[in-house]
Amino acid sequence: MTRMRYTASFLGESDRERVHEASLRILAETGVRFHGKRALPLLADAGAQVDAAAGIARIPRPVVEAALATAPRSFRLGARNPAHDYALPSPVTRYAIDGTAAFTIDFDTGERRYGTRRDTEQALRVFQAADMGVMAWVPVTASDAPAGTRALHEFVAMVRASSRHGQHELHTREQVPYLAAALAVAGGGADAVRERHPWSLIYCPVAPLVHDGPMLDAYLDLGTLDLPVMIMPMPVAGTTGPAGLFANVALANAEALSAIVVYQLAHPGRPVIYSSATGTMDFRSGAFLGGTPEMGIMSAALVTMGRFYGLPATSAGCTSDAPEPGPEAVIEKLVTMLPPASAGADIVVGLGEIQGDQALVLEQVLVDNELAHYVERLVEGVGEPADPDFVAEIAGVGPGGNFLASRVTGRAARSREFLAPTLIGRHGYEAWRDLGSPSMYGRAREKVREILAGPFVDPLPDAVEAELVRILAAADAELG
Amino acid sequence: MTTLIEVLPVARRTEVHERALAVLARTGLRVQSAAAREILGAAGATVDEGTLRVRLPRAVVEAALAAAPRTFTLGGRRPGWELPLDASGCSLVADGEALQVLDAATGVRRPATEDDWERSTDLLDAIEEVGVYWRMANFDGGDPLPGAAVRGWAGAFGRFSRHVQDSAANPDEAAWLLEVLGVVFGGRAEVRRRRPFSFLLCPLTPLVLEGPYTDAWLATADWGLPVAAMPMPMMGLSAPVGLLATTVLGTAEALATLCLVQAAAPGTPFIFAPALAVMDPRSGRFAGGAVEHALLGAAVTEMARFYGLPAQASVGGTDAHLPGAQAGAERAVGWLLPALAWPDLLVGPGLLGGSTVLSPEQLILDVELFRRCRRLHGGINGAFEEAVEDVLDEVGPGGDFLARAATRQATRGGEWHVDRLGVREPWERWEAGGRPDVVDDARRAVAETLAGHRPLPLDEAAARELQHLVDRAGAGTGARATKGR
Repeated sequence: MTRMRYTASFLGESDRERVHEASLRILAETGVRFHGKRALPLLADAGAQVDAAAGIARIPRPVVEAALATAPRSFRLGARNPAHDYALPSPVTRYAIDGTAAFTIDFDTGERRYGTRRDTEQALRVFQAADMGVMAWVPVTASDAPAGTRALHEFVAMVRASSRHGQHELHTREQVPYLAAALAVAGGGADAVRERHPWSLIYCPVAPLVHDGPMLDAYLDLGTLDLPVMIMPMPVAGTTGPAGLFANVALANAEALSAIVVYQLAHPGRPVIYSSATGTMDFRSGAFLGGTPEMGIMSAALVTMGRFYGLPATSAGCTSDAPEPGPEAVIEKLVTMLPPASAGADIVVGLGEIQGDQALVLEQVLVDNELAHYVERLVEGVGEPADPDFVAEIAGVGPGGNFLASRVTGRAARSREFLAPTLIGRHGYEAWRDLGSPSMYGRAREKVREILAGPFVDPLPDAVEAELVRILAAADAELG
Repeated sequence: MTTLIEVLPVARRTEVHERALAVLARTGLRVQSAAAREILGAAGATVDEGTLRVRLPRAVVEAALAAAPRTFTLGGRRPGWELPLDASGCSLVADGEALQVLDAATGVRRPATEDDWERSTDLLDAIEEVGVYWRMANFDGGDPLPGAAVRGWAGAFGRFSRHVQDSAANPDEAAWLLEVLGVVFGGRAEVRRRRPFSFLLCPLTPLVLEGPYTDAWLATADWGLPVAAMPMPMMGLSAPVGLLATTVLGTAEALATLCLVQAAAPGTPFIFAPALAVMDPRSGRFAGGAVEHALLGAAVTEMARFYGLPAQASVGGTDAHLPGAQAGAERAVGWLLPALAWPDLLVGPGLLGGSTVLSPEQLILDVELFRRCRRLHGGINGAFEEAVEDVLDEVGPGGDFLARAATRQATRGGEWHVDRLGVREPWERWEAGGRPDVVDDARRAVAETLAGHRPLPLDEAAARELQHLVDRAGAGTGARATKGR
């Protein structure tokens, strides 16, 4: 059936131009501070006005325009299992698991504790079963790994546990050779990694208008592997960003453009993915809030800006500040999911976490996957009629009749015209009570238990596994 | 700018309209009221008295659309309160007629009582976002005697100070309704002027206008009560499958109602209010929490705008039996699109279990969700913008915006939605506080709201006369129909 998506507008055409022009002025007049060794020389050579003492580059319009011209409009995010490859841009919105929370809500005890590599493995095994997911990320930092090689251990844990496209981060240039070696081993050689893009990097400028040195240098070094970079500015309206949403959007956009400029100067044509993870301040406490309506509309506006530039466009979403799974969590997640999905995001990043992206909950991965189906059904819209001549069908049934026995009804009941939820229940009260009053989180919990008791999907070959262990041991010996 | 969505492009709205016209002209309706058939026949409809079938040609529908006012205000008992229906604001209509109540303290579901009805009415009156009253708790099981209806209206007007929307089931009940309105508002002229009550007229789907119910409205026709036309086609059961087809049928039924209303009393304020519904294909039951309701609620709003009529959108509810994650998810999904489509009236917070179980806590949770939807609709409107380039020049790379005057102004000025429910403390403080959840918050809010609420009193003479009416109706005395007219 041909689907008729509904249309949504969060930032009108003239406002997109305004955001773009404001961003260009910010880049040219205020400038951006770049720490590290590699970015400022690249920018100076390209024509930016560099204040070396302050570390600030003022980037003129032509440099931004040149970078936007070389950034690829489309590419494929590969996956270790090619069945999971995901082409960008996409006609539909798909999802990434949220990343780098500090905590896990322990599946067995319910206690909140620091995350481990095993949590990443378990979460990504659950995520592998979430059919709306396309991109893995390391969901929790590995408190059980040495600080100097933690990002490497996390990256490898993700590569093991997920055969989908995976993204993660790296913190220093010293870690680069080990990651490059690990990815080459797992991806069938450096050329295959360059060609298929099975893994990418997540990069967050520091708002307002600052780039971290060691991370940026490491990511520029990894340009030789052509790893795509998801650029995710995170200005928080009221603290690290201006209080007005429009201004905060312009700041996020300026930060994204500044990162695109540097990555394109270093490696023209390197894939970049436009993204954002804005927030608002809780002005009662100054704390970060990610599960707010304002976050939802800023995300949608920034997806619109990504599309304005013709780039693959993604955003954070499906975020919640709730302390525990439950009604607050799902309400906030939907409020921050639907706007970017309505704006046509290629990927919304955020499944599986609560507490402002700081706590992983295994059941939440599947609950959020269910919410993603609901959002998809909304975005698919009213659609074409199941029976083009339904006026005749109405005439056949006549006033006071019913359509239950109609062949069209039978067909449609098995089609996508009616979304069939898997975790949300629709039993009548008595049937629900007799079933033991099941809940959506309860059903998700059972499903998680089944997944973890089941076989490991797409395991790495033993030889690859052994080589990864060797690489991590070498890294620990040198950096750990 | 305001956030805008569109589920039916303009060409598709035209198609819905044209196909609705085809249904009205070809299939027509079964109109069980002889008076209504006569009125529609006089307006140009083709009437078959043998089958009670009335077919409405295009010209009749177009004349009705031309006669209906584009904007008007709803009034209420509270002095100075009015609700403009002009696409500028969106107000909640409480969901109605729950037969059961979920007792939050015990978790037990039990039949609704009169006390539940009074408490829920007080709660509604205390929540500004609820502009329009529906009776939330059906504690008398739909008692057909007029005493129950009169007691219900007396209670509604006594406790709720904004707009009341309800029906009368037959002409006798309608006469009582007019008496009640006359007593509370001081007569027909004042009711016409203030519009404190709208008549909910629900055609029976598919394509039937019931006899006594239609006659009940006709008995009120010269009081100028706004009419909300709310057919309830359910896709797959009483409507053909397909969201578009269901929209066409609901539109046709609302237009047929419009034709009758404008033919009987031209210029009567009319609210386009089809409550398009979805069947659960596995059970044949109403699937209150089905995601498709959101699309249908937005579609109804867009069709109302197409006609230039005020919009009342209904969007299912939840199938969950307890406040919690499923109820939150289904309500959020159900409201996000319709709220962004921005109807004048949005139905309706507060019920669980496929709109059969009243939960005051859910009412509070739903209203909080509505506030967030309203913020989404508000969009990125630039109300608090300074020149962003100048601001950043002032703050510079690595600075912060916390201490700026503009930040303080925006926090108080609506750039941020200030939530009134839910947890915002850090983990440690939340844990130390006994891990309260949002349903606990809502329970507390219900208790505090009710404890602090004082209904706007009726004037003493009106209260006395109203009680007299309640007593008379309860004793089985007939209404003074002529006084009402």
